[in-house]
Amino acid sequence: MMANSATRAVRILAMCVLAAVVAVGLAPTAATAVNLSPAESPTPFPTPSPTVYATPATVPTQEPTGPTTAPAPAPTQDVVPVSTPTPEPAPAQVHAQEEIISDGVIGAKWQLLGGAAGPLGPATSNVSCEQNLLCVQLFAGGRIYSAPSTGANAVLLTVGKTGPQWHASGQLSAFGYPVGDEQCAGNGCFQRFSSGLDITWNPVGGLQTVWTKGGIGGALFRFYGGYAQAGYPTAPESCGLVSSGCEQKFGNLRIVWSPASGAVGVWTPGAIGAAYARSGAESGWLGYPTSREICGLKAGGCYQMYQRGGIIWSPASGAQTSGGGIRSAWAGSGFENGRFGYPITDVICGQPASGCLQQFQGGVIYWSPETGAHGVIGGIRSLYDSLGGPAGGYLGYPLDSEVCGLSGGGCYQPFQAGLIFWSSVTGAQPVRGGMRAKYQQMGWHLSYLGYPASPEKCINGECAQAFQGGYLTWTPAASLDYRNSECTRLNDGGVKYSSGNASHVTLVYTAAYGQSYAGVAYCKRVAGMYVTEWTTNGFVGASGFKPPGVPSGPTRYNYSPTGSFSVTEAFGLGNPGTALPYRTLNPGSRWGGNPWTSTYNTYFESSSWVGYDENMWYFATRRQHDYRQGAVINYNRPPDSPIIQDAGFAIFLHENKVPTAGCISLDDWAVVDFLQKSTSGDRIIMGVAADIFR
Amino acid sequence: MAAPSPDALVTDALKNVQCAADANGTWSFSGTLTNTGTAAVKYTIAIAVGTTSSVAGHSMIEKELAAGASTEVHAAEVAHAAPAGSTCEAVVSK
Repeated sequence: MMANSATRAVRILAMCVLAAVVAVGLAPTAATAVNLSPAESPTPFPTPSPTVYATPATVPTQEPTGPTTAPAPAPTQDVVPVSTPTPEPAPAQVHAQEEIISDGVIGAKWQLLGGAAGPLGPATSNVSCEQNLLCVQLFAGGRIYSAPSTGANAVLLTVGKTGPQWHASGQLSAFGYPVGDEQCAGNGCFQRFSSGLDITWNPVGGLQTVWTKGGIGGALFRFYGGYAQAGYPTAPESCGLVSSGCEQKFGNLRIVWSPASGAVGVWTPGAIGAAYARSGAESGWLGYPTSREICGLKAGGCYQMYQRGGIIWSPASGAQTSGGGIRSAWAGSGFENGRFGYPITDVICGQPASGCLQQFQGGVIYWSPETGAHGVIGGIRSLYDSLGGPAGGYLGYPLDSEVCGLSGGGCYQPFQAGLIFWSSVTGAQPVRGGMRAKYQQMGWHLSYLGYPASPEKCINGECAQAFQGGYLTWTPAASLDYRNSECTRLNDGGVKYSSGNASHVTLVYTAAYGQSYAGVAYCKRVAGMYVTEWTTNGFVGASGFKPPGVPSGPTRYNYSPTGSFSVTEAFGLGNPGTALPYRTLNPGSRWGGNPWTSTYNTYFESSSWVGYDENMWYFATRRQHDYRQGAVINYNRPPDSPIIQDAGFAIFLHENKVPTAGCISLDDWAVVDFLQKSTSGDRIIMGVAADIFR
Repeated sequence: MAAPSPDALVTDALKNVQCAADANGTWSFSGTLTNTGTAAVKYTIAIAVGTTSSVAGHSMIEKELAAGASTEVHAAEVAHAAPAGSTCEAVVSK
């Protein structure tokens, strides 16, 4: 209420004022001026509702809520700055004898500001009130307005930064009356008026206005601590952004508003702001911000949400955009608290099949229109990357997340063109195509095969893949499975003798010296890997093996040689279908056993049977039919070596599975199958196990 | 696959085979060779003594028989001191 106490009134004998009416129709007053710089304003700025910035989001999986500000009216346009304020309307006539009184709250305010010696100077009118609500008194250096709700506030004419602008730019009709004095702090000043407009000034932005009842101005005080924390505006509020948006910059804070999103700020020098700018800001795919920047995430991270995604930052990962299906998949994994951690790149599109990817600290999430978004992580990710991912690899995009908890702690992940299995023993290995179909048919990792132990290897239209318990092979004709055997050791360096890349290798081994009973593994080479055609048992020389490098000697001592020998020819009573050069025996078939003769350790024919020569016909046709089918093992003979007399001869693989004079004897079926599958150059590696296996 | 049966093998031509070692360890062979065919045939009998893994001694008999003819065949001292478990086998071919 306006007080009119005569005791508190300051009575000034002045000239008569002749109805000097101010623009609002109030009678002017006079006051004593004092020098009061804006920086010395004694009244603190009315506290805007200070929203605590950087509230930690302890649960990052929850999207932040948008600002609670009701949609603001479109901010008002700035008034045109006028450098020269219009002087206070001077009384038309001042009668020296008329007394101008400045009393009540206005008078008190005038006195507080220094009275006639202060910036307001002497009153030039008495106090005038409108319906006892708003009162005003004019002074030579400005005005003091008083309202019940705001008290008395001065708006200076020439002193300070904001008052002159008010006086020059429309005064009450443009701004309303002051609801506070000019406040200066933080390298700038402002004054608030009843319309909701602030007039501000700082050295960088000069004079600006802020519509504090609008979305942007409201957000400035509600979320960002007003000018003290955000800074003074450096530009007018500007509209015409995409989707009918507006913006205004306050120091390093750019507050943008749109009808759909409301007003939210973006810290322009910050990493998140930079990422936002990189994405095209509100014109980019993210759209307008819908939340403040929220910190307190794991490892010091922050994030800000936008209409179509978010930007997340941490010291280790930088600021990266996040949106769409990839963001959904990331959310499903627990955001930065999950296995993927923080993103370390933006979403990168332009991948094959219109796909996108985003790299995270712990993995990569891929998305394509056909497959959706799925992450690839850990060992499976390493393999997927090494295979070229979706860009250069054959697997295509992931179809689902990895599935763990398989037997032995294994995992798998399906892709468009195959799967990747992982176990701690085998690491990550791919399975695809025909191999995959066969593997699935056998029950995946639950069959004897277990987990894949290597990628498939394909050569000349044949493929082979190693598993824990065996192998799968693929040809256009069939997919086959093979159990592990000693053949596997040909692939892992477990055999001391070279396979020579032979199409087939037969491993014949006894447990110890002096033993004739032998294990036998017939190994087939498929795509560079040896798989097990079959395993069986048989016999070698009745005296067992001679050590490596020691001649087996005459057959009458029943020793077998140790080593790796080629097979280049076969014999018998009729070709069983072998690709080996085959010799059909006749009654004159002999194999030279008499040393220092020209026929030693060679085939020849004779009607006689002399000394240690072998009568092959006899051995082929006698009841036990040893040589009914057989193959020559090139021990002590070309092409493996020159013939050394008396070093040993007639070392064959043949039928009649009994201890031999140095040969290898197998069941009839095994010998026939051996011949039917073998080709010239195949090898037989034979010896005591300790001598041929590592 | 059936085992091959070469035409040269005429096992049925030899009957009454006896092949054994005497008290001194000397192996001797005898048998009856018969040509049941309609033409003369030259037979070869291969005899060996030994264990399954090696030959301790061997012998060959060649005999030509007219059609329908039959004869006793013998081979003395096929082997001496053959290892224990040795057996004697004879194969007749034409």
